[in-house]
Amino acid sequence: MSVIVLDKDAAVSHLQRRPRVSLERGAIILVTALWVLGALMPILALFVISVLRAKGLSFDFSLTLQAYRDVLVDFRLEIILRTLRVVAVVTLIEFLLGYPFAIWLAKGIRSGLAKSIILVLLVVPFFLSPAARTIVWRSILGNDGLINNLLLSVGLVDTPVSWLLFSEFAVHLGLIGPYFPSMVWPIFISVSLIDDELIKASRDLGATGLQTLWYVVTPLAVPGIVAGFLFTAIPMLGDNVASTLLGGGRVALIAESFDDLIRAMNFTGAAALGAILVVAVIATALIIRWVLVHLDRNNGHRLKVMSS
Amino acid sequence: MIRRHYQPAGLFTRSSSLLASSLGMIAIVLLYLPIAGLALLSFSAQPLRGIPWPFTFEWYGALVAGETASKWISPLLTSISIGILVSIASTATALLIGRAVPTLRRSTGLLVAYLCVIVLPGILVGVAVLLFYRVLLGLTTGFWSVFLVHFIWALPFSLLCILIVTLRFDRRLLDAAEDLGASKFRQFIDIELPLLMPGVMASLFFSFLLSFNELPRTLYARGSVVTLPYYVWTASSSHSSQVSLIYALSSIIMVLSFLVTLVAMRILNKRE
Repeated sequence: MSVIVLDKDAAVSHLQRRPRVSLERGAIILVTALWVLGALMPILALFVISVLRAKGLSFDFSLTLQAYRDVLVDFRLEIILRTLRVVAVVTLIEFLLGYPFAIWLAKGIRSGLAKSIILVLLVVPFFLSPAARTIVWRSILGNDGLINNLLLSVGLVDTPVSWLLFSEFAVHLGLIGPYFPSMVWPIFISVSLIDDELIKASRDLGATGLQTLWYVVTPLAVPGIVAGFLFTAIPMLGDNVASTLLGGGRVALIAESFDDLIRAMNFTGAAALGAILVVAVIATALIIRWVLVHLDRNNGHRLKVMSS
Repeated sequence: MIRRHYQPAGLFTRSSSLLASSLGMIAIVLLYLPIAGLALLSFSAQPLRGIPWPFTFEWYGALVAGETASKWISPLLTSISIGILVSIASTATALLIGRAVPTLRRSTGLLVAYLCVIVLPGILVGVAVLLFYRVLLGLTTGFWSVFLVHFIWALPFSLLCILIVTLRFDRRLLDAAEDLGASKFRQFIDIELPLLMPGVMASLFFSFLLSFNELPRTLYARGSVVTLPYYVWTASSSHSSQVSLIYALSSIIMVLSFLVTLVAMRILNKRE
């Protein structure tokens, strides 16, 4: 107790004796203002640009929703919906693969060395070139690539299997690897923070491993699961590497639409698509949060019912 | 209950442990198979067919000899110089903000403002910068706008590196230094900076790598600047003979990035 009092004293004396250096404070305000104006403003400006009327390469400053009409035409709407579907499916796969794995990594693994190695393996990909690690799939999946060569030489097929590359299958496969760490990390961290005693207590009271997982671990891991879904699904909405290199133009996602619109100098259209994406990002965040908070409340309720 | 049949925390049996780890291994294999394949195929005479033999140094040789060398050297230099600038700028900014956060009463808003860009799809940031600066304000994009989008990408990560060390830093050390007569500048140089050094170094390494390997933002903000990832991207989306060289070039970059990441993680993990 006395230690805490001492800490408080120190904090008070620190506040009294060390008035904030005004120069430093000014620098923080200046840098933050520059950040908001230079980095966040362009993103908000998408909403403004999207409702301007394009006039050649500049704008006529009158409002119109024409850009949204350009973007929400049949084929482009199809691309948006396809992107949402691919992202939802891949995110779900990541969760199914990543959730048990993250819990095992936090609470099940015995060897400290193996744990460190796996954690390093899950960090390194963030800093590798996304294009470089995707092109090689073409050598593996292509018509005269590794898998087809093997299948042909074994005699399982007579003609190369063509749906392996430049297909939705290839895009899904190419997305699973790179986005796996973003699903595992948040869940791993939140499960690591769960006190082992809670799990032991649950087991000692006779709950099975699965019951402990459902009633004890999952409710406490909800923040990590929310973060996992956000960090996986949202950046994936704008992925251009897998769809371009592995979709081969047949599986166009939102990223290709940006390309088309900007190449056609339809800047208001690109802004409208960007604005839709920003709204999708915020909506995804809110929906995932709502679903899991709801789930959490139900779990909490169940926990109470069980304990009473 | 027979305790030796389940794991330390009592959550996993042997079989569920096997199931959970193999599910994760599927994804890790999908993640590392292309990386290992890239390195392997870069020594193959026919990399595009996915067959690792016959063995050859041809592509590595072609990288340093003659015509091709001139094509990737200049993008490499561009990427290195942008990377160094971004690394210094984002670490300095992160240091400024990260040192202040523990002393502020309410820092949530500040943190949200800096960290929210981490979840935005990269392509969206690139398009937004292009439309805002190039189209709306009429500025010519180029080196500075590539720097800007890389800075936006790297800063949140730098800030996280710095926060790991500043939140652990005991500010009473500065009071002690002040009592002993140290000036503000000496307090920072002699006391604070050495203790924050692991975070600073990790931030320098990580932000360099993030900038060096960045592609989606650069695609739109680049103007006429050609960075190394952009060069790799155009060469690999084409079906030219260049692709074989790209395997060799990417393998070198990949191995170097891997090593730098390991060094940075080692530094960040070192307890003072």
